[in-house]
Amino acid sequence: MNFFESIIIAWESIVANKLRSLLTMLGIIIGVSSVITVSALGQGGRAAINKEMDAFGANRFGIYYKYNPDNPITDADVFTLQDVLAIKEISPAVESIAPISWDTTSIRSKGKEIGVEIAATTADYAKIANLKLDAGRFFSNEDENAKRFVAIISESLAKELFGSSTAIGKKIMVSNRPFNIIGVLAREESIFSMGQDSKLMYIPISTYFSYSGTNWINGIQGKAVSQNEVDRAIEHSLSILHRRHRNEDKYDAWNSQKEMDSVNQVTGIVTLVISAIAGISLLVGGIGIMNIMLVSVTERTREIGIRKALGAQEIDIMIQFLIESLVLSFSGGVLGMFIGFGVSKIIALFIKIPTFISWQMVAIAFTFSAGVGICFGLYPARKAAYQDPIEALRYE
Amino acid sequence: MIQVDNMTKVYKSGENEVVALKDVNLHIKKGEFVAIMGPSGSGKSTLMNILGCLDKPTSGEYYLEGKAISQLDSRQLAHIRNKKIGFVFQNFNLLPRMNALRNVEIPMIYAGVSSGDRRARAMEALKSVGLEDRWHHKPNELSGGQRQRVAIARALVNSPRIILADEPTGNLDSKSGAEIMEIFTELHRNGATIVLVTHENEIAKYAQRIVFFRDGRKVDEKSGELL
Repeated sequence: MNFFESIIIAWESIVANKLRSLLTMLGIIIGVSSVITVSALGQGGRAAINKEMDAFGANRFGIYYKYNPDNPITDADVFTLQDVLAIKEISPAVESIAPISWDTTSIRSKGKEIGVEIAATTADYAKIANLKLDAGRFFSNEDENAKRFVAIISESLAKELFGSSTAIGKKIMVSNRPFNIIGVLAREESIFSMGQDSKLMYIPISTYFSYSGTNWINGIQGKAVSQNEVDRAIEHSLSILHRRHRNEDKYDAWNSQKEMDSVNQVTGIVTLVISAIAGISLLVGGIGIMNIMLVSVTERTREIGIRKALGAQEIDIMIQFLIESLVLSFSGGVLGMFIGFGVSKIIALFIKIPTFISWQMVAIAFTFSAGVGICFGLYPARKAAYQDPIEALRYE
Repeated sequence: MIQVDNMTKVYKSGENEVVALKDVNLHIKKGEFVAIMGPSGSGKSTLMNILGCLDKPTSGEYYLEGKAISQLDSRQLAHIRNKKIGFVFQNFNLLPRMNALRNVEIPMIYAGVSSGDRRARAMEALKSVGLEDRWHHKPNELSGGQRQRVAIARALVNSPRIILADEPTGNLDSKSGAEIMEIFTELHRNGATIVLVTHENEIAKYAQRIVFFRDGRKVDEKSGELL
């Protein structure tokens, strides 16, 4: 029996019962489209997060105070600029390291009050956080040593203050002191910022200490020499800090790799759950196909009899019905793929992440839908093949 | 060509046994045109099914071209139905979704004929029954007589040794029936072996030889001219 001929016959019988065929395919369509949607969003999301992590700064880590109400942080425990220098001096695993202090202030511009976040740090921070500038430069060690009143402001703050005209060289007043704007940060395209850029300014930490009267450092951030050295860099930093402050268990650390792993773990679980749902709907779809194929075999008993009388072998009949269920499930698979593709694009539009459909995913979806067609088509096809020709011919 | 020895066919339905054929002996030579007559329930259709390798006798043996059919498996039987036997049914048994041409192509699909040859040969067969200009019509777009001619074209297309026709004119008016019988007569003249079941004298008289059945037994035999 000609394979191509079987496909034509199968296609004709599917087209002859359009609605029934579509309903039969529904399970497969839902299964495949959900697999495609989830994988397109999952893989796209993961790629976006990876990119985000790169932008955030690879091999990055940070040290912070451990919160413990029974063992609160005292003045003696507070990070100092000397701590930072010491870590840089001692640990070979640390490439660069910077203290950071956070503060908020409001600045006046054209009669408006604007709330601004201040990040006071050292020149090395630009390297650690992989900061990109639209214009100007980040402050230097010299600016820092001279406690100059210089600031690098975020793109949204620049727009707020100066509109489309250049911000470089302009002055802004913070706590009644004029800060010279020497740089503007590039706009952050981040899935976490949801398209909104924070109003932020970076200033030298020495300048901050000089005018604010505080010596408080919120945290220390650093960059390891390589991905493999991140753990060692953290270990060194913590032990140096605890030794210098003669305390223990006061500080803790985060690192970008660990954050990444936990994100991957979450997306992994979500993928697993959706895959299970997809698996169940493929199973249900398969049962639907088996059901409709059994109906089709009964309806076409006479056709089977005629074909047998005209010389069809059992295997010919079997292949014909098997191809029919295969075409049914495969069409469902193709349809599901397009729907999944469309749905993932629409969702991506709303949550602003890229989609990515790998050819492996397409291959898996097709293999599964075809597999379902064959597995669940086998029993009806066998039933058709082993009909008694005389009984089949007499069937009304 | 066809040799039937002491053939008996018993159907079991629950407790009851129905004897459809009882000790039938029949010999049909190559090129013969034989009509089988009898009232309904006389076993003529059962005989046709066995001759057509669709059914097997309970006892006795059926030799087709010297080959004992009981020794063959289902694959070989399908092969015989495909290549050696051409079936014509009372109710035509065309596939409703396919046009005339594709209906005629079916036996060749199972004979493994390439699609180009299939088309040409199917067209040729339709031409021989005068339906070449109706090839694209579906069965429900054809009259009863035309349908039966398509079925005959289908039966002929693999050049079978024997044509088995079970009441081929049973669903046709007398004019169409006569046309169909003309086709059979023409086939017979060209050397075909034909076995035809009927209960009409009008139809049976086209045959050379008439075999009468009653209650599963062969009761009489006559020459066609004697009717």
